[in-house]
Amino acid sequence: MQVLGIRYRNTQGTLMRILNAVSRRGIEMPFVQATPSSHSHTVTLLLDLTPKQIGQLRRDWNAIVDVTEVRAGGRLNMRPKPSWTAPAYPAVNAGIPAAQAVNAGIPAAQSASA
Amino acid sequence: MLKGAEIVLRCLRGEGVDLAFGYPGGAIMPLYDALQDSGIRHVLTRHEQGAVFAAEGYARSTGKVGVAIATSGPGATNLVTGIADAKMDSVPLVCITGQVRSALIGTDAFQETDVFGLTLSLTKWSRLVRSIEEIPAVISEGFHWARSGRPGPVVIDIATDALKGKMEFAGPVKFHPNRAEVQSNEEWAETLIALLESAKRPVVLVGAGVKLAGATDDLRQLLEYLRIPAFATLHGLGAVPPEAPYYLGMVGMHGTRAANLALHETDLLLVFGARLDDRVSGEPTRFAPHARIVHFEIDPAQLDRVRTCDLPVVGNLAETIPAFHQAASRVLLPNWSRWNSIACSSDRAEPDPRGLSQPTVRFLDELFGRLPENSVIVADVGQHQMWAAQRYRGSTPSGFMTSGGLGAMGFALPAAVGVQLAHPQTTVLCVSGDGGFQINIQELATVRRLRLPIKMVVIDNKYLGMVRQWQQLFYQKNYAETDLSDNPDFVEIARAYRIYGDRLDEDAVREFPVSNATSGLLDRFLRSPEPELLVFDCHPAANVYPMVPAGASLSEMVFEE
Repeated sequence: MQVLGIRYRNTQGTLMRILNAVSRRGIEMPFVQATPSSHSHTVTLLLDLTPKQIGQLRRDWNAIVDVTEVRAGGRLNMRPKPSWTAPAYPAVNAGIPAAQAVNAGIPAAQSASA
Repeated sequence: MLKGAEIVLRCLRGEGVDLAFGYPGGAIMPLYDALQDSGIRHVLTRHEQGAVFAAEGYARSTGKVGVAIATSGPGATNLVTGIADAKMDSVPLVCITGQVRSALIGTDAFQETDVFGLTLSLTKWSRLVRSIEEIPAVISEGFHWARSGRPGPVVIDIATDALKGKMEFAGPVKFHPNRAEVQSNEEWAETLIALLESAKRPVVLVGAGVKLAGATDDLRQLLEYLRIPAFATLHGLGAVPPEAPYYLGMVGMHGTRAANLALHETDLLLVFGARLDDRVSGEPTRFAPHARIVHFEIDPAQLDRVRTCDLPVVGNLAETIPAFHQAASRVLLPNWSRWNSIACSSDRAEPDPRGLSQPTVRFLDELFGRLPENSVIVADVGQHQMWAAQRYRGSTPSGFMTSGGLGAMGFALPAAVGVQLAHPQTTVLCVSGDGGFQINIQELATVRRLRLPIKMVVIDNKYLGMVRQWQQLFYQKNYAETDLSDNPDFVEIARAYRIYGDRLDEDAVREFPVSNATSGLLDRFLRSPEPELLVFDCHPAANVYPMVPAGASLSEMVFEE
């Protein structure tokens, strides 16, 4: 596995072009992190690549108009995993007072983590 | 105060655009409403794919940026094949598409597609414009990227309310790139000269990059100095004069025996502006197995795709080729006459130079031999494309044009429209197969409307010939879904478009020289001031040889079944 860092100006589609160079080759992306970095942005990728693929990807990324730097190596900045136990959307009854919920025949909201 | 549409058109004029190809529709209507008196001539094609291929033909033959215009949704999706073609063949192209109004973007509104998203991987640069204020800067930047470095396609998708809105407009703006043009790596010359001095069997492979860089004359001078075997890719045809004693013709899957053998045997391969795709390289692991590779290229992303090169020379070929010539002229180069005599020997020459065994080849020879100098041949995709490339003997850099990288059938007819409009006095010969001609046959209407004197040839073997050939050779003659024997009568179709059509059977060209009647028919066809169609009926089983089977090395050419 290689860690690759690509610095880019955060213009329309540039991050997608960077990621597309990987996905069009059918390469898995087990770790992707895009963050603001001083005046530009950086995306860090963890990829399982052959040396030839590394060369091709580096050149493809450098050919993208708003990519400013491509670096191999470095550390992953793993942030704590977000909790996915919370529902993606508010529950349909979230915020409905218990009395109204009972009147409507649906369970009342329990708590924020329900 | 100007409308956004008027600002778009003024910005296009500011970029030197005086001709655009397109097809109107809902979201782009404001732009069409403003076209009159804009100073831009608009050519209405009968399909958006026709528009984008016509824009490509114009761009390929002039070196200017081609412009195609379409509406949102299906209009934009119909451009996609042309955009992909322009990316593969490095064609400067700007596509302007209308988008649904900004408040509706993302709502799956009527005729809404994510044009920006679907063309992202096919474009060199693209923008979705949501407000009128963005228009001048986006157009300026888009044209810069379309024509700079390795040229390519740009998509500018503009919300219809941005086209309708009004604002003060002071004039087009100039984009200043914040990244430098590709500079050549300085240290290569010494290494290259050392490689050249130690080489026993050097060769030169010429690609489209030489022509795109405007470095054809520089390359010719270099070759005259080096005088080593040289050959060209499909897109490199015309860069080297065919009469040069060291020129071996086209290389690759349907290349000449001499070129493919020289490429297989070389110990130093000098590549100029070619990406060495699989049609050129054959089986990559057995490509130029004895060679060190020196790769002259403006786009570093094209390096090492097939095989790692030993010496990349990154930079504009108009600078690096003269620099190489200068460096080479300062040293005493080895005598390669023994190698030249082997590579260019008559043993390796075409066994049937007059094509007497293949009527279609004879037919193309008869046609090409009658063409005035500086004519342009636009070939579609398939067997006829390879026959035309094999028989092309022109030495005009833009004299042979085809969809090489993408291999998009249907390219030739609309592309010929763009070429003819760019060069009204030039003879433009459009060579299609019966399959490809029907993919954009509707552009006969465009040809007729503009009375473009394009000479259209359909090589009619009543099959998807190249696929049929592969089925014959590699799929146990299982001719699945390639039979087009129920083709319409193309002469009658031309007549319906009020274009004169004629027909020639392959028996008419079996003799050498051809009869006076055949000769007269061909002369009249090419000299007509009107558009004309000539259908050449040929045998369905005719195959293109030589051929390097997929997965074989270039030395393993097949010459017959």
